[in-house]
Amino acid sequence: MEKLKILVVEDSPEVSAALVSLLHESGYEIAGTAGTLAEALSLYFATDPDLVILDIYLHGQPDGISFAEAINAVPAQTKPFIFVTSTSERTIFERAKLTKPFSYLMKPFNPLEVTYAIEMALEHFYEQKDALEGNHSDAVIGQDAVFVKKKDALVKLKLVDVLHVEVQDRYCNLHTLSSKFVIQMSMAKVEELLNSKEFVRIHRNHLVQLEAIQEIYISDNVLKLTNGQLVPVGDRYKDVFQNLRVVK
Amino acid sequence: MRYITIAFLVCISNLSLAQTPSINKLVLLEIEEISKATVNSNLSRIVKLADHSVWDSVLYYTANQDEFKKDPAITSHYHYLRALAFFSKEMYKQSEKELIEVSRDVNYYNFVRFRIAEVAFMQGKYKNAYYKYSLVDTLEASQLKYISKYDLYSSIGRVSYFLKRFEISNKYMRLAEKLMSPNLSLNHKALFYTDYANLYYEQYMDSLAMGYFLKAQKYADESGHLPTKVLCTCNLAQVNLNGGHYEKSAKLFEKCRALTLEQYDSDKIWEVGQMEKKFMLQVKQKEISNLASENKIRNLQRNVFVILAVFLLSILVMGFYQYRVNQKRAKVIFAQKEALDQLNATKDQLFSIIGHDLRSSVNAMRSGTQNLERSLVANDMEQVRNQLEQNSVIAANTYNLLDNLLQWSLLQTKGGYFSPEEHKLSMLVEQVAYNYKGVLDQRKITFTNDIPRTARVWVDAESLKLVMRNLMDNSIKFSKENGNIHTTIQDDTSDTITFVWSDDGAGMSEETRFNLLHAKYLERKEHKHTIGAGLGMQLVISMIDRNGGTIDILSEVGKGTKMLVTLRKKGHGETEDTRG
Repeated sequence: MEKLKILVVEDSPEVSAALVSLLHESGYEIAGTAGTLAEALSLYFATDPDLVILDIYLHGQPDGISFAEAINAVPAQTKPFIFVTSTSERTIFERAKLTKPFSYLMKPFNPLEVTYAIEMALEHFYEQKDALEGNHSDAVIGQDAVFVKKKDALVKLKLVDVLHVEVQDRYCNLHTLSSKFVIQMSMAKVEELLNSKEFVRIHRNHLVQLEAIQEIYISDNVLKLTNGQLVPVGDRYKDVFQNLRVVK
Repeated sequence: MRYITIAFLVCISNLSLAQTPSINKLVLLEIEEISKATVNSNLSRIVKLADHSVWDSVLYYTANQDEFKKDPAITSHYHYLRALAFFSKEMYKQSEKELIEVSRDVNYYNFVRFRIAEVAFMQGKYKNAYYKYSLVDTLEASQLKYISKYDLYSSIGRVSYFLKRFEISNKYMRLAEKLMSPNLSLNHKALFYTDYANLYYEQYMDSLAMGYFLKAQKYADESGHLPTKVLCTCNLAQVNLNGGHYEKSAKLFEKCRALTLEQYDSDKIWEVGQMEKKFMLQVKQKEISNLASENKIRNLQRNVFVILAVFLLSILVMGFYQYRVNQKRAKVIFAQKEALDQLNATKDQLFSIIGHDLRSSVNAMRSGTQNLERSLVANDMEQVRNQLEQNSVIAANTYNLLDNLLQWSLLQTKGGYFSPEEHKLSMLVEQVAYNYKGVLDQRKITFTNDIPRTARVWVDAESLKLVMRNLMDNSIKFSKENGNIHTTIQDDTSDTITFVWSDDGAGMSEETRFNLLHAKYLERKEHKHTIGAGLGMQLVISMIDRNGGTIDILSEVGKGTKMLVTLRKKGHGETEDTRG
């Protein structure tokens, strides 16, 4: 479990400070604060944040949007954005709309609003609508992390840390090396969202990260994970191993 | 020669035809016989024409020389007839030419001789004529078949008169007188005696002359031939004048003048008649052209009139149209004026609201700050805390008011970003409630949010939050201490969702409720410290409407108020970001 890493791009020191402290209080990590477009770009590529919160206007120029456009130019590098603004300038928002799905924050904002904006941004970006506040889920599974709603904030769980996913009623237990996290999501959904090259379904109730498999005891229908945990293997799912390169 | 000679000349041409006509007739008859005998139809025809004095036709039919050169026997007759025609037409030279061509063999050659002499006389060749006449005179009695002695002698008399051989003239005139046939016409007699009288008069044998003048006049009067009458009367008048008989002369001259006029008249009557005809024709033509031009003018007038009428009509129509247009414009202007007046009224009220509310807010903060100072000096931390809380509440309220104003103005100018999306209603409520924690705590009002976390709405988030802030403001304003504010869902269908915002505050009358929901502009509220609420409510209604929702109020004075807000849910086939 990790804190979400957020890059803050804001030229006003007061607003920046307020935002930073608010984010800290909500349990988010600040990747950095940038006051100019150049700073923002360099920090972005240096820190690889999970999310960017940026003001549209930097020193009078709509550089916030330029930043978003620059990032969007490299699809693989894009991340969710949140635009902060105090005006409701129509044309500028419409230009901002041209960038990938985003959410926006109106100044002044309170912690709840920030969290809400982050949620919306993640949901939009990973195209998992209602994932965080739906009837059946409270997590968004991203590229290499799972974002889970804990209390009023979001936390991040790196997928590499997830060794094994286990179904329990309407929840899934995400097992890491040291602990277990519960998310509200169906196994089918989890399987769908996880990269099948990295995660594989081995049992009706179990899904493991390939990297985490230490040993496979085919005849016993069980395998051992790196953390020593034993996970059962279903008959129907045995074919999965055919495609693996096994060192006997 | 005396004055009267002119008269003499006049009668000569008439005289020559005295007896000649009968001889002429004789000659013609003979030629007729010849033509019948030779079976010459042409000749026969020409003779008839000559008989009827149709001289042009005679000349025409005798023009073809080849025709009548065929038979030498006939040739002479042709020539004679031609000569006759020419003579009658007073073309004496041509007549002479033709007469010469007549051969001596013809029976009537002596008559031809006489004619030749006549022709010479008519041409004024008097000496020649006298000689030729003399030749005829020498003819023997047996050869005088085609000669009229009377004519011959009178002719010789005349010719010699012109030659001034008066004795010869006297002799022959006397001879002629003796031979004068009683059948001779009165006119001719008058003329003969006029000549005779002239002859004597010329020789100054006045008494003799006078006798013959009178005789002439008598015959002239009897004849009734006007020109002759004029001649004789004038002659007589002149003679009397010359003779000193002035009275007689005067009378005669008058008579002469009357006769002249008569003659003139009779001559002129025809001419005048012709002229009259011409004149009438001209007049008629003029009339026609007048009528034509009148017609033209009338047509033109009519055209002009029509054009004018059309023009006027079109002006009228245009005028009418313009009037209508103006009326419409006036209506539009009036409507615009009304709208403008309303807006101005609203603006004025807004200013008063702003002034009032802001002033009271800032004032409260000012006094609060003073209290703060005092409390700090007194080291009363509790009081300091309280005061700070109060100030923050006032600041929050002021901020809300200003926010309302901004949103309201953006709404008026159609500015402001508006983008409906799907949102979690419960979370929006919580975000709004978060900012009121301090106020709620201070006033000891509880706020509970029972909206399920799964409830969704299709709204523009910021505008809905504005709505809720205003609802919260109102609820707080009207609630007492220990009051309750509560939100929950009433209806949740596939298309819409209705949430309820209720408080147990002062409530409102039916009238207030109605005004809140339907007023187009701001009004004074019942509760004096709630003037700013009017603007808020306006905004609430406008924003909800803009989001495609509806609002209703249930309230009872003293029991509390329920605000029912119905909003859309996604499911109308709209995609995000299409409404704006």
